Amino acid sequence: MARQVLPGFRLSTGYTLAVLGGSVLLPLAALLWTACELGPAGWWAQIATRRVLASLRLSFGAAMLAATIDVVLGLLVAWVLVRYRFAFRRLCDALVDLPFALPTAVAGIALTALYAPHGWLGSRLAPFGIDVAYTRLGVLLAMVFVGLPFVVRTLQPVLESMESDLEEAAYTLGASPSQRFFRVLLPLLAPTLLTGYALALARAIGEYGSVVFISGNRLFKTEIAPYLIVQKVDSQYDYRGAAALGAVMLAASLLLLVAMAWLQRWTRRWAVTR
Amino acid sequence: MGIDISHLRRRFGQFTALDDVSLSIADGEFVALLGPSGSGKTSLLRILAGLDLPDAGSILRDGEDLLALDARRRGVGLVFQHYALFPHMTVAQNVAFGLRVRPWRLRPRASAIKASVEELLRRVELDHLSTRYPAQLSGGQRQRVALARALAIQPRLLLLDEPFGALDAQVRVTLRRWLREFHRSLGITTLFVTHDQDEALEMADRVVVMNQGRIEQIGTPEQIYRHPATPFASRFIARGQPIPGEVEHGTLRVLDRVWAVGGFAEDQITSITVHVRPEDIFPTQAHREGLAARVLNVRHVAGTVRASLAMAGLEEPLEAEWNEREWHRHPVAVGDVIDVHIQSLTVFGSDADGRVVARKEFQPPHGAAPVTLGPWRRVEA
Repeated sequence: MARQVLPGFRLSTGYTLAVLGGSVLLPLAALLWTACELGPAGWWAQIATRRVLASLRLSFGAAMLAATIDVVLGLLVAWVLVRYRFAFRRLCDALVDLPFALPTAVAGIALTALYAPHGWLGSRLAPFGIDVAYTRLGVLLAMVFVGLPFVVRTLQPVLESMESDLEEAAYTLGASPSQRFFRVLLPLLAPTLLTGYALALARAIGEYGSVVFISGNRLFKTEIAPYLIVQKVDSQYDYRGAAALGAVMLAASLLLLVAMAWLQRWTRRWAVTR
Repeated sequence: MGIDISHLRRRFGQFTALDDVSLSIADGEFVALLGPSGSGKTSLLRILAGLDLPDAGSILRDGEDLLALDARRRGVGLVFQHYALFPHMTVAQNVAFGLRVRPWRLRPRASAIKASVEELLRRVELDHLSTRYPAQLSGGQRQRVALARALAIQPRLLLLDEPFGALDAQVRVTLRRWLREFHRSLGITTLFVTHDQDEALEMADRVVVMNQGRIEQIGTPEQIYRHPATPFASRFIARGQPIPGEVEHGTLRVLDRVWAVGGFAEDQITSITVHVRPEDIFPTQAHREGLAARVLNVRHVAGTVRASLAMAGLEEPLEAEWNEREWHRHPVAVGDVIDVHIQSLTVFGSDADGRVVARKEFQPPHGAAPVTLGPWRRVEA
């Protein structure tokens, strides 16, 4: 091995590997181990039920949709916070972090109170035939809420460091405002947007506290996969069944994140070094 | 014809970027805006490009009001100091950008765009790199891509912001010559901003010297170098060094010498500035009315010799410059006390507002020796 100029390679790397192994790999290994105790047939029996499949579909489908919405809204919020100066900008900036800081159960209860059929917003939406609480829309809403700060916070520093040169260059070359946005800014922001998307997605897939209150956990309709896991452990003491479902979620999440990383690399193909 | 800039003003808060700037540029001319940072040259460039608007004043191009046109429709090509190439596009895509974003009525066919991009890349000698990304290019190559991209829209005015600022010295000199030749072959009216005197003097047909938002002098490189109009132009272009002096009743008193000067209107003058150029200070034989100077240091810089001279009555040492051959005939070393003659002085008289109202180039009579031979020729004789 080549001599390291930077000191502390052994110590810091050893420490990093120990922490990663102890706090990430060990629990994951335990999860897989427990799931494996079921054997393939038992595992299949756990997963291939209508209830589990419906919950998985909802969890991943809603999470992907929520992350997509977060990317659009987050880009807008980050853009406004970075590019414009207005009263209470700092306050708005601080508010972005609220979903980070709030205990998720509190967020869930607040959203439920707001959107319940007799809630402040729910009662106003009901005449239009829009039910939010106890529907899949509610699940989506909660996931959008918790994922938004991830997109905003990943975008902000990138937008701040972006030189106005490129937009000005496009402008003098005759590009219209929309051409400047879609042909210059958006492609440059794409890698960052994908990072934000991946973070929001990961958060939304794993989200429990804020979703279970507003979803109402209706069988086949609004049960999310993490809710089923809690149910198995809580009421049936079925740790193996919970682990089996957990392993499926782990695999799916991993696959999604790998796909995101690959896509991100593709959007940054121009950043090659000589 | 050409571009007429008149009485342009621009302020940013308390800072005056442009203060009553008027300038005419003829068709096809190659003009340098030269000044230190903060002198307003980049502000002027941005206003011409349409990225900023002046507070007052007008810009006409062939009689047409340029300020009324949006930057998109001005037909002004701008090359940014740091090139501002689109990093996610290849070289060819960058160059094609200005044509591709045109409204479809005005947009050339894809094949026509491809052809003109190829032609432009051939002209800037980058046709072999058309599929590379900007991150894969050297500084000089990026510079030429930026130039090709600006030229793709067939601009009627080309603006270059510090075109060589981010390049290393070797590339800079090569690219300078290349760009000057390139301009000759294109004939597009070109304005470039620089803070580098050599660059401006070597490349431009005409140089506009700017300082603190004002134009100090407009002229050919030779005019400005030979006859600087203001103390600033003298210091910045001709490397004029101030020495204390007074003018009274037709006599000039400099460094304990008194000489008669004629043709200097003393009426409104409240202050006098006297400048001497490094190459106008010559060592001479002792006892020939020379001024005593002590040599503080000697530097050999590629064919020229520069020396710092401490002289009585001066707080700052004076810089002198001789060519290597002259110095060899009469070498001076650090610590020597030598006699020097001043061949030429420029005297500026300013009024109470700081405006130059009288100036005179003056050859002190003691410098009688022929400049071409060098004063120490007589030492050998």
